[in-house]
Amino acid sequence: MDVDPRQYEQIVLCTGRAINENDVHNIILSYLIHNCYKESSESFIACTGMKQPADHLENMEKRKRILHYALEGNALKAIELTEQLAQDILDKNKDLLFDLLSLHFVGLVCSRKWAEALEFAQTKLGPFGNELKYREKIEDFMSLLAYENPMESPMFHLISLDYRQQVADSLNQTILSRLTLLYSLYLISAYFNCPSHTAMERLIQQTSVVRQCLSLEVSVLHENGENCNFYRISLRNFV
Amino acid sequence: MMSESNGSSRRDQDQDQDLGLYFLETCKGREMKNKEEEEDEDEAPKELNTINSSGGFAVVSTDKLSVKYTCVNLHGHDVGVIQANKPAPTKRLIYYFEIHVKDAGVKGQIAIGFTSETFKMRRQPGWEANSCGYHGDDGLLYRGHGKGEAFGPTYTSGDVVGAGINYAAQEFFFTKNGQVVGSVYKDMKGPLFPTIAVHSQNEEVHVNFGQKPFTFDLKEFEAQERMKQQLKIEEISVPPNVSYGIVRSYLLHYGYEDTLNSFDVASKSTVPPIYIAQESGIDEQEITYALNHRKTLRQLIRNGDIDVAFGKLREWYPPIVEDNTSAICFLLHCQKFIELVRVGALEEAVKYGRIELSSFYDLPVFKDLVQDCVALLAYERPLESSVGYLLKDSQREVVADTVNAMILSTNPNMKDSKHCLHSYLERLLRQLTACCLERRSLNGEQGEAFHLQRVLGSGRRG
Repeated sequence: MDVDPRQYEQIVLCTGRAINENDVHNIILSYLIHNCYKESSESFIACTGMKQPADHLENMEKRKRILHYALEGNALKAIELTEQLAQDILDKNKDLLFDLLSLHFVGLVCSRKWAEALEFAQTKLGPFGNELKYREKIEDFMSLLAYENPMESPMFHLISLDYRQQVADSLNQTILSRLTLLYSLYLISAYFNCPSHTAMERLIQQTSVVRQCLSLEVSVLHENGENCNFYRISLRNFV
Repeated sequence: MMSESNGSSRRDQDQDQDLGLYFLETCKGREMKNKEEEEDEDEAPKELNTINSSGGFAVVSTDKLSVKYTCVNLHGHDVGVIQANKPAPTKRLIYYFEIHVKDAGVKGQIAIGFTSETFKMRRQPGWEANSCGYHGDDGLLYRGHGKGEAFGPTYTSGDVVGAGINYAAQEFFFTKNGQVVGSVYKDMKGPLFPTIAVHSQNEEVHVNFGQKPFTFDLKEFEAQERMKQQLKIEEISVPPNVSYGIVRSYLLHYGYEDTLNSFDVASKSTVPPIYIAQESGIDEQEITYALNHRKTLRQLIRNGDIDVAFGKLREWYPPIVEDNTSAICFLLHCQKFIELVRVGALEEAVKYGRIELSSFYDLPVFKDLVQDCVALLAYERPLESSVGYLLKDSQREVVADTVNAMILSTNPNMKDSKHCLHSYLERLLRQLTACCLERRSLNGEQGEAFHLQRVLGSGRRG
């Protein structure tokens, strides 16, 4: 099948569904809300006439502060504010609670407060050790203590901004799903109940995966001598 | 004598016509429902095929949903095998059906599986090429020869056994009493008929093609299958500047200037900062063009101020509205008409329609929309009618998007006029749709098509 880009429009219309502009608007809005763009969200809602209760935006400031604390490594503050926002949220998400506590531990290690770090690990992280999955993580974190310079440990990525970003993303997502539940925003919940990314990222990921599958299939076909015209475009070229 | 500028303006106009017409087509597109799923359901098997079944060995009930082996012959070519009346439909993620073994009879030689159209209707499914069967007496899986492979437990009276085709994984799978027994790669091509067989005296089997709820939780299985794919997808890392770039280019493309300004201000202070690398590949130069004008016009049209919009266009971009028979003028005139109907000024609407819309009646491309517009006048409550869609804000959006595209097309630096039609986001969505369809085509047209709603709702945590 010759995939001429111009055929895309026909393909879409043939499947009986033109791309619904509401879906597109919601993709954009979900990105803005996810990333705490308050004024932009409000402006976009106004410019497109979308329906959006104000409550969701009200909590955005709070969420933004929580995420900033998490990214800075001030995990205790992040935990405190999160519990203010939605009380049982961390009780129901033990993985997330553990990750946040581990951030605090890392902070102590990096400030060379060894004794405090050890005590914190024993009192706060230790109790998680009853479950195997946490035990392994605890061991990873404890290994940071073995090095004068934690950056030299094989677990140095746990000190990185990337790791903090990961935890912050997870926190963001958990809060968003919880808030959505609280306000019964059925329409929006479809866009927010995703593990780690906004709808936008999921679309990009999907496209990459499908393209990869196709490239693979096509190369197999070529190997088998079959005729197959397919434009191999990288995401870069496309975007 | 034709000067060069005349020639090029005619070419431009042809191009413009194309652009305007494109949006005209999308008006209709919005109304189409998702036909594919409906058709797929229509084509699903609903009962057993009594016409081609082996003669005399088994009896099918009048409702064509159960079969009983009545003879005492146990010859290998005397199997009471029955196919469904239609092959398994393919335009879905998974096809599945079940049997309930009412009576395992003397020897319990029951089978369930799939066979091709040309199957020899006196043999157990799996004993012949191009067939596959899970047999109850020995629990083996037969795939085209007399020797079966170890597969699962045996089954007998009272058991509910299911057989399915997983198009995503290209596998057959079988269940017993609600649990998956196992799966194998499906190398059979072509239409596959759900098949059941009985082979000893008094064996009786009832089949369920979905008319009753299944014992097996198919929905959950489908969800898990989708989740498997989803997890693979989530492993792909997406650099933040890519999604940032797509969002920004969307705002630029459609002229959301105010939102864009807020966005740019806020982006300067995001944590962590977003580095807009050159290689994101997004060419913003083309879509920054005439941002303020486009914003103004979008606002005017969103508010239904068509006259003012027309005025601005004549002032700022006369070539766009020069030809009163162009698609863009047509859309604007229709919208003016619609706006008059919206406020209940029906007499004025009729007058306006006579002056501005009548000339479009004869042109096949415009006829449908004109007819729909005029039809609005026929209803006391037009919003509830089949042409009610014209009165919604979404129709204003179509006009706004068209005007937006037309203005972008006047950019002398625009490399490809098609870039005026969509932002990168829509192109991404279309690419995704096309790629999914292409992948399905490589899979022998089996499996689901791309459904945006499903992707956006995927990854849902319970």
